[in-house]
Amino acid sequence: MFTYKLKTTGSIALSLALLGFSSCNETMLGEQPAATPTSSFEVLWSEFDQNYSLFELKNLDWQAVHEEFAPKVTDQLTDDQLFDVMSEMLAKLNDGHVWLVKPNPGFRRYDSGPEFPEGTFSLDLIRGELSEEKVFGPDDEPMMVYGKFKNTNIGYLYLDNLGEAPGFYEEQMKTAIAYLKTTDELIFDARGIEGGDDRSAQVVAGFFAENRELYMKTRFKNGPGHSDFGDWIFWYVNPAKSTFLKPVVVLTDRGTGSAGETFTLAMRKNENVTFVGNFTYGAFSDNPKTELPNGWIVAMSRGDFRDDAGISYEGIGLEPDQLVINTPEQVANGMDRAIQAAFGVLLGN
Amino acid sequence: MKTTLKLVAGLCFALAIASARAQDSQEKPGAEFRISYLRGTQKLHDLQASPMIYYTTYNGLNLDYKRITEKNRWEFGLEAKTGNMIAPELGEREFQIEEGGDSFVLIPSQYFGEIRAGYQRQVSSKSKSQGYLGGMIRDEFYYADGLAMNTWSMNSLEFAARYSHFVELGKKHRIEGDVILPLVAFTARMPYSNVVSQPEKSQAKAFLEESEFASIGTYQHPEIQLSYRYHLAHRSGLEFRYSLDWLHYSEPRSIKKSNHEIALAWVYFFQFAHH
Repeated sequence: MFTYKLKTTGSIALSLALLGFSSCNETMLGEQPAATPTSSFEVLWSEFDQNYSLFELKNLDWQAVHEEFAPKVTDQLTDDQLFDVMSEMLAKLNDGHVWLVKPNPGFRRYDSGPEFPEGTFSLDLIRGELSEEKVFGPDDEPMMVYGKFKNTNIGYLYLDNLGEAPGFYEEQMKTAIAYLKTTDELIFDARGIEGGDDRSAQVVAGFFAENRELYMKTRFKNGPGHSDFGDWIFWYVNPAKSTFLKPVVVLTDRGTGSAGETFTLAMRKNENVTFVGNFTYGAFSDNPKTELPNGWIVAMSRGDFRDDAGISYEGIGLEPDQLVINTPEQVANGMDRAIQAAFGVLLGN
Repeated sequence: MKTTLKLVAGLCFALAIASARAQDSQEKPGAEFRISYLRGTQKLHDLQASPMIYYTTYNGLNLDYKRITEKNRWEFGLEAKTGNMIAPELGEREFQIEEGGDSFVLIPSQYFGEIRAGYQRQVSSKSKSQGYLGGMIRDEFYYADGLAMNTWSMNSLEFAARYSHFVELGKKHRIEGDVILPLVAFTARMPYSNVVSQPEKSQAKAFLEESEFASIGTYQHPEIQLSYRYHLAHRSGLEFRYSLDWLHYSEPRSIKKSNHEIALAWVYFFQFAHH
């Protein structure tokens, strides 16, 4: 009887086994590219060709770039030689959101964007001038610092990044603004904000907004063509429940990047705000990563970010109302000319 | 891993012995509750995330409840699984954020699972075998952080046809074969840009709002299961199950996935009634 019943299920079992074995075959999953230098180069080039969002904005002929660099790549290249060729190719993009990393052993990182002098801003210099100081996060690397400058009623607020979720900043800003409400003016230091979440930037800017205003529109690649984009997404700055509408100076410099820049865009819609310092970095778009057959990882811009008038500042940065550029030597000698200029703006009001 | 298996097996036998004291009866159970330990391998080739194939060897837990009458079967179930994702062609890779910085090994963890509900009606009945045909609604969700240093996610609400066939092999043995074939799916994947960023919306909401309907022409996800059940006692049984599924969806870029899975389950029978 048992044998008889097995006939009923035998065919099912056999089918299952065959299907199981065939599923082991990678034809069910598709082929993987080879991990050779030429294959990795071609994947790198085509991933940018199909996904990079700023070719038209940068007026770059990516096919011509392929013709220039493909002949330099052979399967005999060492890892370091291949990395050099790829880096040279990505340099054509001059995009701060484009980078390439090669894992250990022999870790290397290449950043395509422009380099600016470091040491043009020191939070410690400013913290020494505050009579009262509130810190959130580790004291040596705070996420947020706020307080009042000695012998004045000018407030100071520093944000290190916008990398947390919007709800985090909503809570922290509510506390900070409740404290800073008693000040007459405020310096918002955005020079440390290298990036984060654009939604968090929107939330923070809302604490200085009087009216709901369109400040940015974004769109993202939705196909392989260089002009294949989805619909525009519109970003408005919305007044928070508790706002600071007295005069504000926002300090920016080349360290203000990505979400720091979309925050700056939002703050530009607030009439009580003046901008002092240097241009922002000039890299706005989100930059998801992809990987190459040899295991290297590359990041690229996949969005098109514009201000409310449709102007893109990718590769340019946002210009302040008053251009003041600190040098590393000045900062090393205890001088922050940008914050001095901010005082000038506020005390001149 | 071995400890977990021993624990599950030990639990099953302890419960089986306890329930073996229950009075024997000619009544048939009107409901059953099944708890399963799952162990499987997922192979994923998602061109939206990486040109490389990732393997995830996972562990998981499945719970389900079935209501059974003479002609009808209702099922409600859920399962959760987790495992680390490795691309065999790439191996373990150690990166740094910047040169001279701290290093980390890039091994993303994947979390996935499903919730399902189904109904089947008896379509054939012989002395020792029955066939049931029906449908099920199933939501499958997947999440991994760090796949090529990105967030990877997928959610798929499927409406599937299901056929089950049971063969009784004496009083204590039963073999079941299942075929599940989704006909329509409402699927959310990472968009072409791999960016989920919308003002004033959570990322989960923005992600799910991009869901699209797909029919069997573009979305294929057949699954087959084969299980053997041994009736330990009046109220309990042990089950060993093997399942295999394969997924293909082409939007916005091709994803292909297969799962091989085995399950060891303890089944509790209750709500006995004369059939």
